[in-house]
Amino acid sequence: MNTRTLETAFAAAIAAALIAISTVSPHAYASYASWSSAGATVYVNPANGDGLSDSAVVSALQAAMNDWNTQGASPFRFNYGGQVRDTTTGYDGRNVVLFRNENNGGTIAFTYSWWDGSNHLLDSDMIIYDPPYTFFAFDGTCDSSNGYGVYLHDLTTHEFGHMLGLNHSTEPAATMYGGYAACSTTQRSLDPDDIGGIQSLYGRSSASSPPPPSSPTNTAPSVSISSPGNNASFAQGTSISFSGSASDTQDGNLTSGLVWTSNIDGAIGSGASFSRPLSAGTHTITASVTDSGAMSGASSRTVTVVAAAPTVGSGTDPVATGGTGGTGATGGATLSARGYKVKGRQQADLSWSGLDATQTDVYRNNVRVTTTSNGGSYTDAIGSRGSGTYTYRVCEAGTSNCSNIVTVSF
Amino acid sequence: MRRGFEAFVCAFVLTAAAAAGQDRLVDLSTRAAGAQRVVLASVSDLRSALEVNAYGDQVIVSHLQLQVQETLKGPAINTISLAMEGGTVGGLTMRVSDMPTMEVGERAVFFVDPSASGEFQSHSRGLGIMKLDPSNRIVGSSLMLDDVRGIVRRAAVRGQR
Repeated sequence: MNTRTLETAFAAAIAAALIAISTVSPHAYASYASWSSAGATVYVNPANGDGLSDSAVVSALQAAMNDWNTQGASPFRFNYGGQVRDTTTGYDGRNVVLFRNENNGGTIAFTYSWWDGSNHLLDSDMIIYDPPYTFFAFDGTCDSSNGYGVYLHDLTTHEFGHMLGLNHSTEPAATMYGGYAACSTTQRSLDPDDIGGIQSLYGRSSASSPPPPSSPTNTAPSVSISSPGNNASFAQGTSISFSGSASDTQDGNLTSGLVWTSNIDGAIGSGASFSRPLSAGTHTITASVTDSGAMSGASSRTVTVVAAAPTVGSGTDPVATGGTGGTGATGGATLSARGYKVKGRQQADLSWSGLDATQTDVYRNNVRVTTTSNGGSYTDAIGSRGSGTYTYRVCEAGTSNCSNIVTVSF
Repeated sequence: MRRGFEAFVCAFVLTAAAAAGQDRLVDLSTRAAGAQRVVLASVSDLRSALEVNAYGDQVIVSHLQLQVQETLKGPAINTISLAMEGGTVGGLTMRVSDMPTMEVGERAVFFVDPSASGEFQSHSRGLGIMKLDPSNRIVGSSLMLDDVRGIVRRAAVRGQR
């Protein structure tokens, strides 16, 4: 017997067994309680560990709620109540969906339900566990290669079934059947058994069932830079204003996620707007953003910064002003710097005091260039030729306890 | 075709779970290999209380006293204390969708691990409790207790190699 024949025979035997099970009772659904108002308002904390945008999460969950509202053909309605910041649940009269960045023994999600002695639901909360699963909000994006890809829409259609009072069904084709196969999209389509379940709790409506909705196809976000203008020129040391916006058909406004870079200075800022000087030279400034479906958009400008006469500065600003390492200051940490050239290449000697940790993070232009032992000095071999302006600060490694900022110009 | 077939078989095996949640399809032998103990036991006592779990959630927790009738994996033991979320306090009931409900006198095969509280907890949450009907059939499936015994013992033997 070849493999295909064996599989076919085995599948037929199992199918026969399933038919035998499914014919034991007239229906396979089960329930435990119902909402007396034939409706439930659901709040969502969309914060998740997979980088899905708030709007993508809310969109997927609303689609799942809509599955029951429309395909269920009953008077029951889920209503979206808005975004919240809840990170815990309980019997508080508020129905919440939240993610938890924890591995919970293989469970992808579950729903807590509370009801009274009359079997009337009082509260229901859904918790979705992130690792080892990866959640996807848009059709066609799920990665099933490792068996851990999950469409949020389908996952939550099942869980919303619990939220309205249904238990697991023994019908393998039902949305309320327990278990989820990687990247499955079958649960968004209610089975007659699921419809029987919701109608057993809330009755039937006269409206006909529309076809199941699909999640939208993802498109790339668009990015626009309003400042600086293309080919603008600035004197070195000038604080340059950067501003822009980003939008996405699926995710909406993504401006806060903009990342700004210079081909000379590296990462220079983020978000809608900021101001800062650039080192001398002709910069290609790029603002870019990535949406929840992993598609990116970008826009660029060319900016020229004209070099000033070489100077060496020692800053006195007691507070670090933004950057990767933090914004605080120790109050006692002091940094000084000296810039010079070795065979025409830029180099800076840094000296500091007042940091307590054994390791020190050294930042140049708000980018950490090294973590070194806290010996009070470090030589940064920048390596560039010609002119340039750099800001430095040092911080206790891994903390926001930082020195003042100093500027070194060549 | 082969992958699809395997998924179908896994789904079938999952009908053996009395309260399968939204879980990745984990077969019985994997559960048996992962659990520290597997016992056939009946619930001799059950007390429920409002508590706060490790995540800070307000929940009802049921504390079950299990009378062990047969140890399928792990050291032989007479009784086990098991904590599981869900239960009734006063007129208020809380249910977790991926956990079964248990009552005094009910029998099940329990896949358990020790917890920090000193009580045991079910391995793989709801998949770790397989309730039995009077004919020794796993509730909601075609599996019999003898099938589970065989799978657990084979998994235990593989784990010792």
